[in-house]
Amino acid sequence: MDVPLLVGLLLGSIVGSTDAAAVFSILRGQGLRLKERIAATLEIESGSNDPMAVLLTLACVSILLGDVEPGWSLIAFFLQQALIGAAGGVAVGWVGVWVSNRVPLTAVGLYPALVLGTGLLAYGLPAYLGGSGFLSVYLAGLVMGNARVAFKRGILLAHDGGAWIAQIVMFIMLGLLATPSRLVDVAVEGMLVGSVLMFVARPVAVFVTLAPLRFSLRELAFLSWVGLKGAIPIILAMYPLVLGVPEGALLFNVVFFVVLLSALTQGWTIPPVAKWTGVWDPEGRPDPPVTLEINSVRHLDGDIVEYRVEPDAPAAGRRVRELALPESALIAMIAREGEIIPPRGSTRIRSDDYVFVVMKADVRPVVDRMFVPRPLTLSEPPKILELPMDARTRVGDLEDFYGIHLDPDPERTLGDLMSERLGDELEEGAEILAGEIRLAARSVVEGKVETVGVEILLEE
Amino acid sequence: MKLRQLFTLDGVNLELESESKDDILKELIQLLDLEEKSEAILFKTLKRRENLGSTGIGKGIAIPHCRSLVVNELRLAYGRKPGGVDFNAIDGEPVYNFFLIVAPPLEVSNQYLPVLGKIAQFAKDPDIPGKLTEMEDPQDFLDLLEDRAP
Repeated sequence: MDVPLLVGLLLGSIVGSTDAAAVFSILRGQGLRLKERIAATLEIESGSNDPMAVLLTLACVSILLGDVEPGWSLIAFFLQQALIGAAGGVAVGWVGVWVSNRVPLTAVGLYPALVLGTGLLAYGLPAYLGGSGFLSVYLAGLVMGNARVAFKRGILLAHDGGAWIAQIVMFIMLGLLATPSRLVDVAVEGMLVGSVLMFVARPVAVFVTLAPLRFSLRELAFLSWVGLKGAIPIILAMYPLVLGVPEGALLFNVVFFVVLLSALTQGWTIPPVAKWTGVWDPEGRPDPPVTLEINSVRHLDGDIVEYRVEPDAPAAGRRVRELALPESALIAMIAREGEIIPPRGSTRIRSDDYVFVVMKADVRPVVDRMFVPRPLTLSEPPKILELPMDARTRVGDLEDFYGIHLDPDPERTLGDLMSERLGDELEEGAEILAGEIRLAARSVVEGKVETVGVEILLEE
Repeated sequence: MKLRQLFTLDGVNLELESESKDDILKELIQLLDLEEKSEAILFKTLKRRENLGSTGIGKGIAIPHCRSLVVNELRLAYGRKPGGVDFNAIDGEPVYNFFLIVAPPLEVSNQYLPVLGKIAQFAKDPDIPGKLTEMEDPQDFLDLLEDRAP
């Protein structure tokens, strides 16, 4: 292209950033899910390379414009940008979390505004102090997004809307800046740059950086291919244009071409490549058909947790009332194949159901265990001791003697309880599980239990 | 927690004298060294538990147990009746070895059921009943727990 080396470096900085979000959304459209490790790698890559691309681009532009001399001052510039940006982002993020949880706002609509303000501050403050605003706002978002923030659901929705508007505005801007007829002029250069990026630069970078991490050849091949370019390179290409770098217009057109090329070739081939390289997860779960949303303005000591019932989970195949859930947990809704089922005591939970449980935070581990498959030996723990008990024993007495929770009605007898819970399955040897003990029907006469075996189970 | 740590020398009696189930329970309760009123309450509770189903688990062993407000921590006692006594055990045989377990209704460490299980595990070992018969003084019992009990 007959440009100085530095302009080449600038071009590299601009087109370096990848867009994992686009990769994920393409795959989701096809109902494919990536294996967790691959997905996490891509996510980290795209998250971390945006701020870096911004830094590199700014550095190259500054040198080209003569603001900074290459050398020590450039390294200092880099460190200053990264350090102030990182520190500022984390600090502002923390302050944002603290403020949104401490300051009671009466109108819930103010929470998204508060977070938006925090975001602007996260960009502006470090940028004013000489740090990287992009890195900072990214980190602030990470900090806030992973913390417990009041009214989080609403904040996410508001920002999702904002993000869409921003994207639309951005693409209109791009349309205004791009001139299709000029793209033809850079077709050869664009093809060359794009091909080298796809077939040489990214594969080499992927293989060199990921080689020590024991990825298989196929996984590396997939990661090499999905260097999909998104809108960021085009945005970055506007910098030299706007700041007056002489080759700005040329760069913008080449970058635009490369992004188009990438979208056309890599974009639509991602699903077949994912299948061909075997990096998708055939057992990946589809998203649940419904979600239950909770909008809490304050911190509440509780959660609504969504479980997908695994086939081997203790809860699978059991009726709701047989689950012996802790008192501070309640099944609020069951979703099965696009239908919502209001849970009653007699509702049988099936594998692949989505179960929504309202609970206090401290009983989470206990409830978790019911929906996660356990190894066979543990799902039916061996009994260590069996004590015979009269079936006329009151539920309340058994609860008192063993400190377990069995049924809300203490006046019922063990015999009645077993008849009700087991229904047609009541026969000698039939069992119901109640926490650390199991009740077994030991002698059944004319459909009624006479003796119950109280089995003390071996601890895990 | 190991069973050994839950027993004390005072809580072991190798020469129970009673000849009936009720009196055996009373003698075992005395090993816990409670107030007279508490002893009476505890006896009633244990008796109530026995009426629902015997805790004589067979092979000459019984594990009377209950939760009761009269104790504020998990308490255990061991008694041996050399001649054996009829305890309505599930195998119908006389019982020689008694392990008493009393836990408070609300027990933070939740040791009650595990301890019940550990005693059953210990007593089910085929040569334990023989060893229990051979013991000469309470210290032997604690040593046996130290050696063999989970």
